[in-house]
Amino acid sequence: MQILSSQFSDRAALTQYLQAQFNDLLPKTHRQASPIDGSNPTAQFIDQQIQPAAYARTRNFYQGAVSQLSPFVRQGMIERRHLANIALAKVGAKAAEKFIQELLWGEFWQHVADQRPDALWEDAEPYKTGFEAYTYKDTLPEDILRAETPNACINHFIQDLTVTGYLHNHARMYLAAYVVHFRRVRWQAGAAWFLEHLLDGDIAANNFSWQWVASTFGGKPYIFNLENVAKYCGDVVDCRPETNPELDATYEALHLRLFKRATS
Amino acid sequence: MTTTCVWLQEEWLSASLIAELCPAGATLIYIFDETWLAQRRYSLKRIQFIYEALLDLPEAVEIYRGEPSEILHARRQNKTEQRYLTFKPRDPELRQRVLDIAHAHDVEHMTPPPWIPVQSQSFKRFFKFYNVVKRHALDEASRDKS
Ligand SMILES: Cc1cc2nc3c(=O)[nH]c(=O)nc-3n(C[C@H](O)[C@H](O)[C@H](O)COP(=O)(O)OP(=O)(O)OC[C@H]3O[C@@H](n4cnc5c(N)ncnc54)[C@H](O)[C@@H]3O)c2cc1C
Repeated sequence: MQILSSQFSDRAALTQYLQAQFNDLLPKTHRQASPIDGSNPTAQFIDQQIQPAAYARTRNFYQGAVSQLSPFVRQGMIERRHLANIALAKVGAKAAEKFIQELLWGEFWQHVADQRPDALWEDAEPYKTGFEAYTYKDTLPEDILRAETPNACINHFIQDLTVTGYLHNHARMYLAAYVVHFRRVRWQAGAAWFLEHLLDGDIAANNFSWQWVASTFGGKPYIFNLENVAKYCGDVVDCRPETNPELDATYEALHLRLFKRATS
Repeated sequence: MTTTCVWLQEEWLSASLIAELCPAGATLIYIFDETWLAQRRYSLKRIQFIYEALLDLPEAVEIYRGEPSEILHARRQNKTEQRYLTFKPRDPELRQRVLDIAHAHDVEHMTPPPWIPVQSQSFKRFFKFYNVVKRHALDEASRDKS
Protein backbone atom coordinates (compact mmCIF):
# COMPACT_ATOMS: atom_id res chain seq x y z
CA MET A 1 0.00 0.00 0.00
CA GLN A 2 1.28 3.38 -1.01
CA ILE A 3 0.03 6.89 -0.34
CA LEU A 4 0.48 9.04 -3.44
CA SER A 5 1.38 12.70 -3.63
CA SER A 6 -1.04 15.53 -4.37
CA GLN A 7 1.46 18.32 -5.00
CA PHE A 8 3.00 18.87 -8.42
CA SER A 9 4.66 21.90 -9.95
CA ASP A 10 3.10 21.27 -13.35
CA ARG A 11 1.60 18.60 -15.65
CA ALA A 12 4.98 17.31 -16.77
CA ALA A 13 5.99 16.72 -13.14
CA LEU A 14 2.78 14.74 -12.58
CA THR A 15 3.45 12.62 -15.68
CA GLN A 16 6.98 11.89 -14.52
CA TYR A 17 5.74 10.96 -11.05
CA LEU A 18 3.08 8.62 -12.43
CA GLN A 19 5.54 6.96 -14.82
CA ALA A 20 7.69 6.11 -11.81
CA GLN A 21 4.84 5.10 -9.48
CA PHE A 22 3.05 2.88 -12.01
CA ASN A 23 6.11 1.68 -13.89
CA ASP A 24 5.45 -2.02 -13.24
CA LEU A 25 1.85 -1.82 -14.42
CA LEU A 26 2.31 0.21 -17.58
CA PRO A 27 2.78 -1.24 -21.05
CA LYS A 28 6.27 -0.78 -22.51
CA THR A 29 5.11 1.62 -25.20
CA HIS A 30 2.77 4.63 -24.98
CA ARG A 31 3.87 5.87 -21.58
CA GLN A 32 2.97 9.50 -22.20
CA ALA A 33 0.07 11.58 -20.90
CA SER A 34 -2.72 12.66 -23.21
CA PRO A 35 -2.79 16.32 -24.25
CA ILE A 36 -6.35 16.27 -22.85
CA ASP A 37 -6.26 17.43 -19.22
CA GLY A 38 -8.52 15.69 -16.69
CA SER A 39 -9.21 18.84 -14.67
CA ASN A 40 -12.86 19.71 -14.30
CA PRO A 41 -14.08 21.44 -17.48
CA THR A 42 -15.63 24.88 -16.90
CA ALA A 43 -19.32 25.48 -17.54
CA GLN A 44 -18.32 27.86 -20.33
CA PHE A 45 -16.20 25.19 -22.02
CA ILE A 46 -19.00 22.61 -21.82
CA ASP A 47 -21.48 25.11 -23.21
CA GLN A 48 -19.16 25.94 -26.08
CA GLN A 49 -18.68 22.26 -26.97
CA ILE A 50 -22.40 21.67 -27.42
CA GLN A 51 -23.60 22.88 -30.82
CA PRO A 52 -26.69 20.75 -31.47
CA ALA A 53 -27.70 22.24 -34.82
CA ALA A 54 -24.22 21.95 -36.32
CA TYR A 55 -23.92 18.52 -34.67
CA ALA A 56 -26.94 17.21 -36.57
CA ARG A 57 -25.41 18.32 -39.89
CA THR A 58 -21.73 17.54 -39.41
CA ARG A 59 -21.23 14.92 -36.69
CA ASN A 60 -20.05 12.25 -39.13
CA PHE A 61 -17.20 14.44 -40.35
CA TYR A 62 -13.84 14.12 -38.66
CA GLN A 63 -13.82 17.90 -38.17
CA GLY A 64 -17.55 18.04 -37.40
CA ALA A 65 -19.16 19.68 -34.38
CA VAL A 66 -18.92 16.76 -31.95
CA SER A 67 -18.60 17.69 -28.28
CA GLN A 68 -15.41 15.76 -27.38
CA LEU A 69 -16.77 15.62 -23.84
CA SER A 70 -16.82 11.82 -23.56
CA PRO A 71 -13.73 11.55 -21.29
CA PHE A 72 -15.47 13.77 -18.73
CA VAL A 73 -18.72 11.84 -19.11
CA ARG A 74 -16.85 8.56 -18.50
CA GLN A 75 -15.37 9.87 -15.27
CA GLY A 76 -18.80 11.05 -14.11
CA MET A 77 -17.63 14.68 -14.10
CA ILE A 78 -20.51 15.57 -16.44
CA GLU A 79 -23.81 13.70 -16.69
CA ARG A 80 -25.37 12.94 -20.07
CA ARG A 81 -28.62 14.31 -18.67
CA HIS A 82 -26.90 17.66 -18.12
CA LEU A 83 -25.61 17.72 -21.72
CA ALA A 84 -29.14 17.01 -22.97
CA ASN A 85 -30.48 19.90 -20.93
CA ILE A 86 -27.91 22.31 -22.32
CA ALA A 87 -28.72 21.22 -25.88
CA LEU A 88 -32.40 21.65 -25.29
CA ALA A 89 -32.00 25.05 -23.70
CA LYS A 90 -29.95 26.17 -26.68
CA VAL A 91 -32.06 25.05 -29.61
CA GLY A 92 -35.24 23.32 -28.42
CA ALA A 93 -36.36 19.71 -28.70
CA LYS A 94 -36.54 19.37 -32.48
CA ALA A 95 -33.06 20.67 -33.27
CA ALA A 96 -31.53 18.97 -30.22
CA GLU A 97 -32.97 15.55 -30.99
CA LYS A 98 -30.02 14.13 -32.93
CA PHE A 99 -27.57 15.07 -30.18
CA ILE A 100 -29.87 13.67 -27.49
CA GLN A 101 -30.33 10.50 -29.53
CA GLU A 102 -26.57 9.97 -29.55
CA LEU A 103 -26.41 10.59 -25.80
CA LEU A 104 -29.05 7.90 -25.45
CA TRP A 105 -26.86 5.40 -27.31
CA GLY A 106 -24.61 5.57 -24.25
CA GLU A 107 -27.58 4.83 -21.97
CA PHE A 108 -28.69 2.02 -24.27
CA TRP A 109 -25.34 0.24 -24.18
CA GLN A 110 -25.31 0.56 -20.40
CA HIS A 111 -28.79 -0.98 -20.34
CA VAL A 112 -27.62 -3.88 -22.54
CA ALA A 113 -24.57 -4.41 -20.33
CA ASP A 114 -26.77 -4.56 -17.22
CA GLN A 115 -29.12 -7.02 -18.92
CA ARG A 116 -26.37 -9.15 -20.48
CA PRO A 117 -23.13 -8.90 -18.53
CA ASP A 118 -22.30 -12.36 -19.93
CA ALA A 119 -22.04 -10.83 -23.43
CA LEU A 120 -19.46 -8.17 -22.52
CA TRP A 121 -16.61 -10.39 -23.71
CA GLU A 122 -18.55 -13.19 -25.44
CA ASP A 123 -20.10 -13.00 -28.91
CA ALA A 124 -23.73 -12.02 -28.30
CA GLU A 125 -24.66 -13.70 -31.60
CA PRO A 126 -22.74 -15.55 -34.33
CA TYR A 127 -20.78 -13.53 -36.91
CA LYS A 128 -22.78 -12.77 -40.07
CA THR A 129 -19.64 -12.70 -42.22
CA GLY A 130 -19.72 -16.30 -43.34
CA PHE A 131 -16.81 -17.14 -41.02
CA GLU A 132 -16.89 -18.99 -37.70
CA ALA A 133 -15.56 -17.14 -34.64
CA TYR A 134 -12.64 -19.58 -34.24
CA THR A 135 -11.20 -18.55 -37.61
CA TYR A 136 -10.45 -15.01 -36.35
CA LYS A 137 -7.02 -14.25 -34.86
CA ASP A 138 -6.81 -13.76 -31.09
CA THR A 139 -4.27 -10.95 -31.00
CA LEU A 140 -3.61 -7.70 -32.81
CA PRO A 141 -0.84 -7.84 -35.43
CA GLU A 142 2.29 -5.79 -34.64
CA ASP A 143 1.80 -3.40 -37.57
CA ILE A 144 -1.52 -2.31 -36.08
CA LEU A 145 -0.02 -1.80 -32.62
CA ARG A 146 2.79 0.28 -34.18
CA ALA A 147 0.56 2.28 -36.55
CA GLU A 148 2.50 0.82 -39.48
CA THR A 149 -0.27 -0.80 -41.51
CA PRO A 150 -0.19 -0.42 -45.31
CA ASN A 151 -2.88 2.30 -45.01
CA ALA A 152 -2.05 5.90 -44.11
CA CYS A 153 -5.53 6.79 -42.90
CA ILE A 154 -5.70 3.78 -40.57
CA ASN A 155 -2.27 4.70 -39.17
CA HIS A 156 -3.54 8.24 -38.60
CA PHE A 157 -6.51 6.95 -36.56
CA ILE A 158 -4.27 4.60 -34.56
CA GLN A 159 -2.04 7.57 -33.70
CA ASP A 160 -5.08 9.55 -32.55
CA LEU A 161 -6.08 6.69 -30.30
CA THR A 162 -2.70 5.98 -28.77
CA VAL A 163 -1.40 9.54 -28.47
CA THR A 164 -4.50 11.48 -27.42
CA GLY A 165 -6.82 8.78 -26.03
CA TYR A 166 -9.70 10.32 -28.02
CA LEU A 167 -11.00 9.20 -31.38
CA HIS A 168 -13.89 10.52 -33.47
CA ASN A 169 -16.83 8.09 -33.63
CA HIS A 170 -16.50 7.52 -37.37
CA ALA A 171 -12.79 6.80 -36.99
CA ARG A 172 -13.61 4.28 -34.24
CA MET A 173 -15.95 2.52 -36.68
CA TYR A 174 -13.32 2.50 -39.46
CA LEU A 175 -10.62 1.20 -37.14
CA ALA A 176 -12.84 -1.49 -35.64
CA ALA A 177 -13.98 -2.63 -39.10
CA TYR A 178 -10.39 -2.66 -40.32
CA VAL A 179 -9.28 -4.83 -37.40
CA VAL A 180 -12.16 -7.30 -37.55
CA HIS A 181 -12.98 -7.54 -41.26
CA PHE A 182 -9.88 -6.50 -43.20
CA ARG A 183 -7.45 -8.24 -40.84
CA ARG A 184 -9.81 -10.85 -39.43
CA VAL A 185 -8.95 -10.37 -35.76
CA ARG A 186 -11.52 -11.17 -33.06
CA TRP A 187 -13.36 -8.04 -31.88
CA GLN A 188 -12.34 -8.83 -28.27
CA ALA A 189 -8.68 -8.06 -29.03
CA GLY A 190 -9.61 -4.70 -30.52
CA ALA A 191 -12.02 -3.85 -27.72
CA ALA A 192 -9.37 -4.51 -25.05
CA TRP A 193 -6.90 -2.36 -26.99
CA PHE A 194 -9.41 0.54 -27.12
CA LEU A 195 -10.13 0.23 -23.38
CA GLU A 196 -6.42 0.50 -22.69
CA HIS A 197 -6.13 3.84 -24.51
CA LEU A 198 -9.49 5.63 -24.70
CA LEU A 199 -9.94 8.24 -21.97
CA ASP A 200 -13.67 7.57 -22.31
CA GLY A 201 -13.08 3.79 -22.35
CA ASP A 202 -16.40 2.36 -21.19
CA ILE A 203 -16.91 -1.37 -21.42
CA ALA A 204 -20.59 -1.14 -22.36
CA ALA A 205 -20.34 1.43 -25.20
CA ASN A 206 -16.99 0.07 -26.35
CA ASN A 207 -17.53 -3.68 -26.37
CA PHE A 208 -21.04 -3.58 -27.79
CA SER A 209 -19.97 -1.09 -30.48
CA TRP A 210 -17.18 -3.49 -31.44
CA GLN A 211 -19.75 -6.29 -31.54
CA TRP A 212 -22.04 -4.16 -33.69
CA VAL A 213 -19.22 -3.56 -36.19
CA ALA A 214 -18.25 -7.23 -36.09
CA SER A 215 -21.90 -8.33 -36.63
CA THR A 216 -22.09 -10.34 -33.40
CA PHE A 217 -24.59 -7.76 -32.11
CA GLY A 218 -26.52 -6.73 -35.19
CA GLY A 219 -27.77 -7.93 -38.52
CA LYS A 220 -24.74 -7.39 -40.76
CA PRO A 221 -21.06 -6.49 -40.60
CA TYR A 222 -20.11 -2.81 -40.89
CA ILE A 223 -17.51 -2.05 -43.55
CA PHE A 224 -16.21 1.06 -45.29
CA ASN A 225 -14.04 1.91 -48.27
CA LEU A 226 -11.51 4.62 -49.04
CA GLU A 227 -14.04 6.77 -50.85
CA ASN A 228 -16.08 6.96 -47.65
CA VAL A 229 -13.06 7.89 -45.53
CA ALA A 230 -12.10 10.55 -48.08
CA LYS A 231 -15.60 12.03 -47.97
CA TYR A 232 -15.64 12.41 -44.18
CA CYS A 233 -11.96 12.84 -43.31
CA GLY A 234 -10.20 13.75 -46.56
CA ASP A 235 -9.49 17.36 -45.59
CA VAL A 236 -7.19 16.28 -42.73
CA VAL A 237 -6.27 12.65 -43.29
CA ASP A 238 -4.17 11.20 -46.13
CA CYS A 239 -6.73 9.38 -48.29
CA ARG A 240 -4.74 8.91 -51.49
CA PRO A 241 -5.29 5.53 -53.16
CA GLU A 242 -1.55 4.88 -53.43
CA THR A 243 -1.07 5.26 -49.67
CA ASN A 244 -4.18 3.26 -48.74
CA PRO A 245 -4.02 0.22 -51.01
CA GLU A 246 -6.13 -2.20 -48.94
CA LEU A 247 -9.08 0.18 -48.76
CA ASP A 248 -9.32 1.45 -52.31
CA ALA A 249 -12.17 -0.66 -53.70
CA THR A 250 -15.89 -0.63 -54.32
CA TYR A 251 -18.23 -2.06 -51.68
CA GLU A 252 -19.09 -4.88 -54.03
CA ALA A 253 -15.44 -5.84 -54.42
CA LEU A 254 -14.86 -5.57 -50.68
CA HIS A 255 -17.81 -7.83 -49.90
CA LEU A 256 -16.42 -10.42 -52.26
CA ARG A 257 -12.94 -10.09 -50.81
CA LEU A 258 -13.77 -9.88 -47.09
CA PHE A 259 -16.77 -12.14 -46.57
CA LYS A 260 -17.53 -15.73 -47.40
CA ARG A 261 -20.55 -16.18 -49.61
CA ALA A 262 -23.16 -18.71 -48.61
CA THR A 263 -22.58 -21.94 -50.49
CA SER A 264 -25.61 -24.14 -51.02
CA MET B 1 -20.66 12.83 15.54
CA THR B 2 -20.14 9.90 13.14
CA THR B 3 -16.95 10.16 11.14
CA THR B 4 -17.22 8.90 7.59
CA CYS B 5 -14.78 7.79 4.94
CA VAL B 6 -15.90 7.76 1.29
CA TRP B 7 -14.08 5.44 -1.11
CA LEU B 8 -14.46 7.22 -4.46
CA GLN B 9 -14.88 5.30 -7.71
CA GLU B 10 -13.50 6.27 -11.12
CA GLU B 11 -16.91 6.70 -12.76
CA TRP B 12 -18.26 9.15 -10.20
CA LEU B 13 -15.72 11.96 -9.89
CA SER B 14 -18.30 14.71 -9.87
CA ALA B 15 -17.90 17.51 -7.34
CA SER B 16 -21.65 18.15 -7.26
CA LEU B 17 -22.54 14.48 -6.78
CA ILE B 18 -20.02 14.14 -3.97
CA ALA B 19 -21.40 17.28 -2.31
CA GLU B 20 -24.94 15.97 -2.70
CA LEU B 21 -24.50 12.37 -1.56
CA CYS B 22 -21.57 12.37 0.88
CA PRO B 23 -21.92 13.52 4.49
CA ALA B 24 -20.28 16.88 5.17
CA GLY B 25 -16.77 16.55 6.56
CA ALA B 26 -16.28 13.00 5.25
CA THR B 27 -12.74 11.95 4.38
CA LEU B 28 -12.44 11.18 0.66
CA ILE B 29 -10.10 8.44 -0.49
CA TYR B 30 -9.32 7.05 -3.95
CA ILE B 31 -7.49 3.79 -4.58
CA PHE B 32 -5.66 3.01 -7.82
CA ASP B 33 -6.56 -0.65 -7.60
CA GLU B 34 -3.59 -2.71 -8.81
CA THR B 35 -5.62 -5.76 -9.74
CA TRP B 36 -8.08 -3.69 -11.73
CA LEU B 37 -5.38 -1.67 -13.49
CA ALA B 38 -3.57 -4.84 -14.47
CA GLN B 39 -6.78 -6.47 -15.69
CA ARG B 40 -7.77 -3.53 -17.91
CA ARG B 41 -4.15 -2.54 -18.70
CA TYR B 42 -4.88 1.18 -18.29
CA SER B 43 -2.38 3.32 -20.15
CA LEU B 44 -0.68 6.25 -18.46
CA LYS B 45 -3.10 8.52 -20.33
CA ARG B 46 -6.04 7.07 -18.47
CA ILE B 47 -4.29 7.03 -15.10
CA GLN B 48 -3.21 10.65 -15.44
CA PHE B 49 -6.65 11.76 -16.59
CA ILE B 50 -8.23 10.25 -13.46
CA TYR B 51 -5.46 11.67 -11.28
CA GLU B 52 -6.05 15.18 -12.63
CA ALA B 53 -9.77 14.84 -12.04
CA LEU B 54 -9.06 13.86 -8.41
CA LEU B 55 -6.64 16.74 -7.85
CA ASP B 56 -9.22 19.17 -9.18
CA LEU B 57 -12.02 18.16 -6.81
CA PRO B 58 -12.84 20.94 -4.31
CA GLU B 59 -12.30 18.62 -1.31
CA ALA B 60 -8.86 17.07 -0.79
CA VAL B 61 -8.66 13.36 -1.66
CA GLU B 62 -6.18 10.89 -0.12
CA ILE B 63 -4.87 8.93 -3.08
CA TYR B 64 -3.51 5.39 -2.74
CA ARG B 65 -2.07 2.72 -4.97
CA GLY B 66 -2.59 -0.87 -3.83
CA GLU B 67 -5.19 -3.51 -3.12
CA PRO B 68 -8.45 -1.94 -1.90
CA SER B 69 -9.06 -4.78 0.59
CA GLU B 70 -5.71 -4.21 2.29
CA ILE B 71 -6.12 -0.45 2.36
CA LEU B 72 -9.63 -0.57 3.77
CA HIS B 73 -8.56 -3.13 6.34
CA ALA B 74 -5.58 -1.02 7.40
CA ARG B 75 -7.75 2.08 7.70
CA ARG B 76 -10.23 0.23 9.83
CA GLN B 77 -7.41 -0.77 12.17
CA ASN B 78 -5.72 2.61 12.42
CA LYS B 79 -8.32 5.31 11.95
CA THR B 80 -11.28 6.36 13.95
CA GLU B 81 -13.77 6.46 11.09
CA GLN B 82 -16.99 4.70 11.98
CA ARG B 83 -18.76 4.61 8.66
CA TYR B 84 -17.53 3.70 5.18
CA LEU B 85 -19.33 4.57 1.97
CA THR B 86 -18.68 4.06 -1.72
CA PHE B 87 -20.43 4.58 -5.08
CA LYS B 88 -21.83 1.67 -7.04
CA PRO B 89 -19.90 1.52 -10.36
CA ARG B 90 -21.72 1.35 -13.70
CA ASP B 91 -19.15 -0.93 -15.33
CA PRO B 92 -20.51 -4.42 -14.50
CA GLU B 93 -17.03 -5.91 -13.97
CA LEU B 94 -15.86 -3.10 -11.74
CA ARG B 95 -19.20 -3.14 -9.94
CA GLN B 96 -18.82 -6.81 -9.10
CA ARG B 97 -15.31 -6.24 -7.76
CA VAL B 98 -16.20 -3.14 -5.73
CA LEU B 99 -19.36 -4.66 -4.27
CA ASP B 100 -17.50 -7.83 -3.25
CA ILE B 101 -14.85 -5.76 -1.47
CA ALA B 102 -17.47 -3.45 0.03
CA HIS B 103 -19.38 -6.43 1.38
CA ALA B 104 -16.26 -7.94 2.95
CA HIS B 105 -15.28 -4.66 4.63
CA ASP B 106 -18.67 -3.39 5.70
CA VAL B 107 -18.73 -0.51 3.23
CA GLU B 108 -22.18 0.83 2.32
CA HIS B 109 -22.78 1.73 -1.31
CA MET B 110 -24.66 4.64 -2.83
CA THR B 111 -26.34 4.50 -6.24
CA PRO B 112 -26.58 7.84 -8.03
CA PRO B 113 -29.99 8.25 -9.69
CA PRO B 114 -30.06 7.10 -13.35
CA TRP B 115 -31.09 9.44 -16.16
CA ILE B 116 -33.24 6.80 -17.86
CA PRO B 117 -34.96 4.35 -15.52
CA VAL B 118 -35.84 1.22 -17.54
CA GLN B 119 -35.06 -1.59 -15.12
CA SER B 120 -38.23 -3.57 -15.77
CA GLN B 121 -37.91 -3.72 -19.57
CA SER B 122 -35.37 -5.39 -21.77
CA PHE B 123 -34.38 -3.96 -25.17
CA LYS B 124 -32.28 -5.73 -27.73
CA ARG B 125 -32.08 -3.03 -30.40
CA PHE B 126 -31.50 0.70 -30.00
CA PHE B 127 -34.57 2.09 -31.77
CA LYS B 128 -36.96 0.01 -29.65
CA PHE B 129 -35.26 1.51 -26.59
CA TYR B 130 -35.21 4.97 -28.13
CA ASN B 131 -38.90 5.00 -28.94
CA VAL B 132 -39.73 4.16 -25.34
CA VAL B 133 -37.32 6.57 -23.61
CA LYS B 134 -37.31 9.48 -26.07
CA ARG B 135 -40.24 11.29 -24.51
CA HIS B 136 -38.81 10.89 -21.02
CA ALA B 137 -35.44 12.22 -22.14
CA LEU B 138 -36.86 15.23 -23.95
CA ASP B 139 -39.51 15.95 -21.32
CA GLU B 140 -37.12 15.68 -18.47
CA ALA B 141 -34.71 17.96 -20.21
CA SER B 142 -37.51 20.48 -20.79
CA ARG B 143 -38.52 20.39 -17.12
CA ASP B 144 -34.97 21.03 -16.06
CA LYS B 145 -34.77 24.01 -18.41
CA SER B 146 -37.62 25.96 -16.87
C1 LIG C 1 -15.73 0.73 -31.87
C2 LIG C 1 -16.32 1.81 -31.00
C3 LIG C 1 -15.90 1.94 -29.67
C4 LIG C 1 -16.46 2.92 -28.84
N1 LIG C 1 -16.03 3.01 -27.53
C5 LIG C 1 -16.61 3.91 -26.71
C6 LIG C 1 -16.20 4.01 -25.35
O1 LIG C 1 -15.34 3.27 -24.88
N2 LIG C 1 -16.79 4.96 -24.58
C7 LIG C 1 -17.76 5.80 -25.07
O2 LIG C 1 -18.26 6.66 -24.33
N3 LIG C 1 -18.18 5.70 -26.34
C8 LIG C 1 -17.63 4.81 -27.18
N4 LIG C 1 -18.04 4.74 -28.49
C9 LIG C 1 -19.15 5.60 -28.93
C10 LIG C 1 -18.73 6.96 -29.53
O3 LIG C 1 -17.74 6.77 -30.49
C11 LIG C 1 -18.21 7.93 -28.48
O4 LIG C 1 -19.13 8.04 -27.41
C12 LIG C 1 -18.03 9.32 -29.05
O5 LIG C 1 -17.18 9.27 -30.17
C13 LIG C 1 -17.44 10.23 -27.98
O6 LIG C 1 -17.06 11.46 -28.54
P1 LIG C 1 -17.85 12.81 -28.24
O7 LIG C 1 -17.90 13.07 -26.79
O8 LIG C 1 -17.22 13.87 -29.10
O9 LIG C 1 -19.28 12.42 -28.75
P2 LIG C 1 -20.57 13.27 -29.11
O10 LIG C 1 -21.00 12.82 -30.46
O11 LIG C 1 -20.39 14.71 -28.88
O12 LIG C 1 -21.66 12.70 -28.10
C14 LIG C 1 -21.87 13.19 -26.79
C15 LIG C 1 -21.91 12.04 -25.83
O13 LIG C 1 -22.93 11.11 -26.19
C16 LIG C 1 -22.50 9.77 -25.96
N5 LIG C 1 -22.43 9.08 -27.27
C17 LIG C 1 -22.38 9.66 -28.49
N6 LIG C 1 -22.38 8.72 -29.46
C18 LIG C 1 -22.39 7.54 -28.84
C19 LIG C 1 -22.41 6.18 -29.29
N7 LIG C 1 -22.42 5.86 -30.59
N8 LIG C 1 -22.40 5.19 -28.37
C20 LIG C 1 -22.41 5.49 -27.05
N9 LIG C 1 -22.43 6.74 -26.55
C21 LIG C 1 -22.42 7.75 -27.43
C22 LIG C 1 -21.13 9.88 -25.32
O14 LIG C 1 -21.30 9.88 -23.92
C23 LIG C 1 -20.64 11.23 -25.80
O15 LIG C 1 -19.70 11.82 -24.95
C24 LIG C 1 -17.48 3.77 -29.35
C25 LIG C 1 -17.89 3.64 -30.68
C26 LIG C 1 -17.30 2.69 -31.50
C27 LIG C 1 -17.77 2.58 -32.92
